[in-house]
Amino acid sequence: MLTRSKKLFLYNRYQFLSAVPRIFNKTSLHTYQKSLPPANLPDSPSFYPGRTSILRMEDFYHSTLSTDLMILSYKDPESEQKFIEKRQKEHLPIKKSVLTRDINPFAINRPPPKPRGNKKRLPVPPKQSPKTIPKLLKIDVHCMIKEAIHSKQHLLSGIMALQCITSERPTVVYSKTGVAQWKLRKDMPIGCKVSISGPPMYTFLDKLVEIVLPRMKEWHGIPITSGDQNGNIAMGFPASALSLFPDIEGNYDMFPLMTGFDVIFNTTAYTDYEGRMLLSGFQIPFTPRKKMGRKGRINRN
Amino acid sequence: KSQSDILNLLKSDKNEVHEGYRIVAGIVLSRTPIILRDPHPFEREYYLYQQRLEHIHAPPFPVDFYFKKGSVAEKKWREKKEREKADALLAFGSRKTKNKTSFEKIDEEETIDSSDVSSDEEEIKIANRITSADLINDVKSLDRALQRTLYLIVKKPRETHSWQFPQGGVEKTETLVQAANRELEEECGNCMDVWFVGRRPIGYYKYDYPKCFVKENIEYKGAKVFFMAAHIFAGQVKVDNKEIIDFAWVTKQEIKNYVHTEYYEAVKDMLSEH
Repeated sequence: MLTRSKKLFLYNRYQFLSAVPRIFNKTSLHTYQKSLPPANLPDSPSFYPGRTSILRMEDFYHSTLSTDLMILSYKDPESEQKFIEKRQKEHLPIKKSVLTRDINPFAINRPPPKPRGNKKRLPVPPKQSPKTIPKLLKIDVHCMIKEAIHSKQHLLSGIMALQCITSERPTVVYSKTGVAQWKLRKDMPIGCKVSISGPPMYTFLDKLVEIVLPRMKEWHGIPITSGDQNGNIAMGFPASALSLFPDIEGNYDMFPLMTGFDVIFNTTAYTDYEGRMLLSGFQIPFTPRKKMGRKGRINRN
Repeated sequence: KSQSDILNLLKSDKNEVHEGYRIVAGIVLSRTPIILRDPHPFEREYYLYQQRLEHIHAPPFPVDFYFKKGSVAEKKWREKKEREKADALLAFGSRKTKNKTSFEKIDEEETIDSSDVSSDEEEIKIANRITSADLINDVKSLDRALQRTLYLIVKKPRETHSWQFPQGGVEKTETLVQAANRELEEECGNCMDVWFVGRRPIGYYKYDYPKCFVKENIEYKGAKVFFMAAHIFAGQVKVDNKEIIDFAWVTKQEIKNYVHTEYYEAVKDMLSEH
């Protein structure tokens, strides 16, 4: 067993430390600057440093998981055609008279009539290829804080917590409607959300899978019915889960209000089945089906 | 193939046949990488540069948020920061010295400091990336080449084309995966925790049996092998000296040294470079 060598790390880390000044407030332009420098350069105020290391989860996806997913999600040409046609199918409009009538001159350049039965048109997937293997696009972490109705300061706790977990600054969510029963008015700050992709996403996923989920009490997994029928899976966490994150565990007292939050995994899969397959590959457990009869059948589409 | 094997084939009527070719299920059993790959030198330099940029552009660390005023942890943090500052200045200052390089001086300082640190906190011991199996080059070990994918190849008791992926005939009453499972157990023993990746094959290889074999056994012209992907999570191969006499866990590049060139050309596209 070798202890980690500190020599090289020290040399590289502190080589230029005192040479370059800290730049963290560069919002305004100087008088001589005509325009902002491009965002990818360090001079720009919107500069975001790129990835600083190989990401464990991402490398695992590219080396092992993507190949397995390709094998598992392969559809033979017949069933692929069936699935595409199902998605392309146009549902009957609300008014049947639209079908029998001749071309309505008033309907030209207007949106098509709404389908019956509140059915939504799901996206049509492309022909399958190595590029269409399901992949994690982004993770949305959202916190709804109902205590913010009577005092806005409670929002700060949620914002701080999300920032600590995800390393990104969250935005405030405002209510779209008012509910008099809860004393909620329209356009009231009621929650916060943050969307992470790339390196922060994989580090968040790593923390979740390795540290938080195994330690959660009486948690059986994501409900298997979770999903928006287009491959995006969501799960909710109780407030106790927040204290399990290593970023918050250390200074737990600094957060006055611990709130629960929900995590939405946005994937490039076109079915919930494939989305679940991808997340299972990342070692996120799902609750198994209770009934294995007709109602418990797995719907692959 | 030995005499007894040929007789067995003639007896069993239950093998799947298509156009005179015996349908065979092959198993590409892989041990996926256990540790992260080593970064390319350019990659490493790039990441270090990015780390420096992140360090420079990061907002100031909120000490009051993470450490309570007057606590022991805060004191330790401030001491650590002062040490780091001194080291950083050393890196600049000792550039002028000709006798010793700045890094050697820092190393000396580090060795003195690390003894103080280790007494307070538990030092994390990190295992070797290059295991003992790597050093001996033990091809049978599953702890070798932790960064790479290892594939199982077995040696059949014959002179030519002896090394290959484990394979066996598919019976009429079973599916490809079932046949693959059965054949793997028959050839390599039942002491492995294996998971088959779905029920679809990942590769196909058609070959003709040698002429001397075909003369005695007119039923089959050759074989059509459908390869099934599988992963091993625990266990090891058991050699019974009946179906296989030897085995090896090798990377994609090393397979070339064992297997016939024609077989490698047919099989290489299924295997991972990682």
